[in-house]
Amino acid sequence: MRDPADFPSGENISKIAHAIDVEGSAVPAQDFVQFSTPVTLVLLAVFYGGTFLLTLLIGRRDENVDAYMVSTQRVGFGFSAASMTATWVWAASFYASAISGYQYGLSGPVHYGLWGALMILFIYPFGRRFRSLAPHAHTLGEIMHARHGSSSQLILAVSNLLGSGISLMVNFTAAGALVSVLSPLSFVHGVLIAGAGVLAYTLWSGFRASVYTDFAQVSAMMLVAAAVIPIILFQAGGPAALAARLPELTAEQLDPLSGTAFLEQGAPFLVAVLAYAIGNQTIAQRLFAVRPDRIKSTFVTATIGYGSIVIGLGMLGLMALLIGVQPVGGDPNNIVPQMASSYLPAVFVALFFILVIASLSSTADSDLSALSAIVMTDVYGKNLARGRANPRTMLLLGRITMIVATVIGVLFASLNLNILVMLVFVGALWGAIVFPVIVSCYWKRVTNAAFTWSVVCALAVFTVARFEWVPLTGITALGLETIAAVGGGVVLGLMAFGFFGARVGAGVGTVAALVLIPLCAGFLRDHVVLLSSLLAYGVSTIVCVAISLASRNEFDFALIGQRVRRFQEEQSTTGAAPGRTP
Amino acid sequence: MGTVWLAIYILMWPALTIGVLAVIWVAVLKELRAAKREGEDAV
Repeated sequence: MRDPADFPSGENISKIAHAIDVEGSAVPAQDFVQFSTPVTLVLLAVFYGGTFLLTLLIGRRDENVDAYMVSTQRVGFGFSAASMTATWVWAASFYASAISGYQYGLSGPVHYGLWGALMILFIYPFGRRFRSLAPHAHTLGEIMHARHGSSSQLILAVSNLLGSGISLMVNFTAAGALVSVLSPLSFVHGVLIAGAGVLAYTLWSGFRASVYTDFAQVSAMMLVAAAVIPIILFQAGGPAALAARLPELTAEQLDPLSGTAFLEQGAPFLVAVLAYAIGNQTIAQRLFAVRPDRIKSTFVTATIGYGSIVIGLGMLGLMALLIGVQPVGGDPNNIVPQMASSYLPAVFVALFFILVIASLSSTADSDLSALSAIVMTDVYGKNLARGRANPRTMLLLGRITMIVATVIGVLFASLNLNILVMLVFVGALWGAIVFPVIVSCYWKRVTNAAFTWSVVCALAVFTVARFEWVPLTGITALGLETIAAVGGGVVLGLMAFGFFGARVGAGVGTVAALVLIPLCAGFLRDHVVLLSSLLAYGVSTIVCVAISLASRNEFDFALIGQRVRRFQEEQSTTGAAPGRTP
Repeated sequence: MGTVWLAIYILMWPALTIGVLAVIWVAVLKELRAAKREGEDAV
């Protein structure tokens, strides 16, 4: 259950975790369709059993260690686009989109889904650069290791580990809540079944299993989504009946380009567009797996796929608003299950249940694959083994990582721990690494010190502002707002740079920062989350550029490709214990 | 916004979803055939 832009602000992900909902008890079960225990178990057994059987088609007795992390690195457009879409859509995406539709009316789902979709689109130009620098990479951290060394790599690895770990936990939480709401089974039962089910089909073949099953899962998701939206529309009275209620909406809710919806829903996403994509190994992994000439088509298709599913299901919230549905317990998080329960025949409620389970499972298996790749490559391959990685040990480590991560995810989900502080720091870390990571792949003068100190300084300033350790008044607030405006310019500049090159990027960034400085002055101090997020970008950029300009470094980018190799090849040239290649 | 526009606004997303799914299916089918022809794994 990933919700792209919500990680950086922390609070939002907490809300979304609740959306499915963490405590379940807040939702009176009798208000929703209830499956009996046997029916629930059969549905889950069919889903997870079928998925597991699917992976038997690709399972090998002896997996190749590189294929376990990034497949053949020549995966075609169809499988890649399906996998990107399945990974990016999680249950919270459409829950939150529907809430946005209920709250902001016509523009709500678009402001939610559009920016989440654009996150996929904006990363592909940088992705092509990553692939051209290191065609055999497994993780982004591995590229940073080849470019700078261990400290930069480990910063990236830690941010990726935390991100995927949190995502895994939230997905299991979603499964528990869904099962507890729709059946007599408990929250913990749902968490355990999801954990065991996802681990069972991902453990042996890793990333290959994830991609293969993503195709089936996204097909199920898209078919069900495409069916339930028109069914609910016509069961609720049809377009004419809903259109008749339009005059009852507020002017803001009737505005298809609502400024309020953009500021409250779209803008936080915009800030996080690059942070999430750079900070998340699930994206990088697919980037390194797809055929290089299919990167663009894959990411464009996944952008449209994500947008259509999430905005479409967000329309359930708009319909609920027009019908006048009151969310159970006053909690808008109940809108989606209420609409499904009220307007869908029982068989479609069961299919909708499968849709939610598919969306959270596809993301959870991607998280498991991401976690194992980070431990295999960034922790073991590049640091512990130091160029003498044994493929057998590596594979074993990857599988152990999956088991440990699942156990921790299930435990954390079951205990319902408060992870808000951790989320805040992960968001800050992701914002802080965006500029150093990207610029390290284009500018020869960036050094390891520039990378590391820029991230450290950005985190320090973020923390001071985010927790208001200094009063956000007077010259201090003005200074921070100015740096945050620079951060805003960096975000827009990087987006332009990705598509139009350095000159346009620098121009857009500079103009945007200059425009934002007077707009942010006296304004951002009252929006601490946005201020601190933009500060992470601004500080890391200023420090990274300053230290790099002071250096005489002239890095040869060809070295990255030479240093980042396949591990299965590596063992044969270094004389490490042989691992069998199929 | 009238009835027709509201219907289009709500129903265009499932239509788009089906369109994307069709594109993915066709591509996956081609990839499976190509993999079978070359004796390799598609993934």
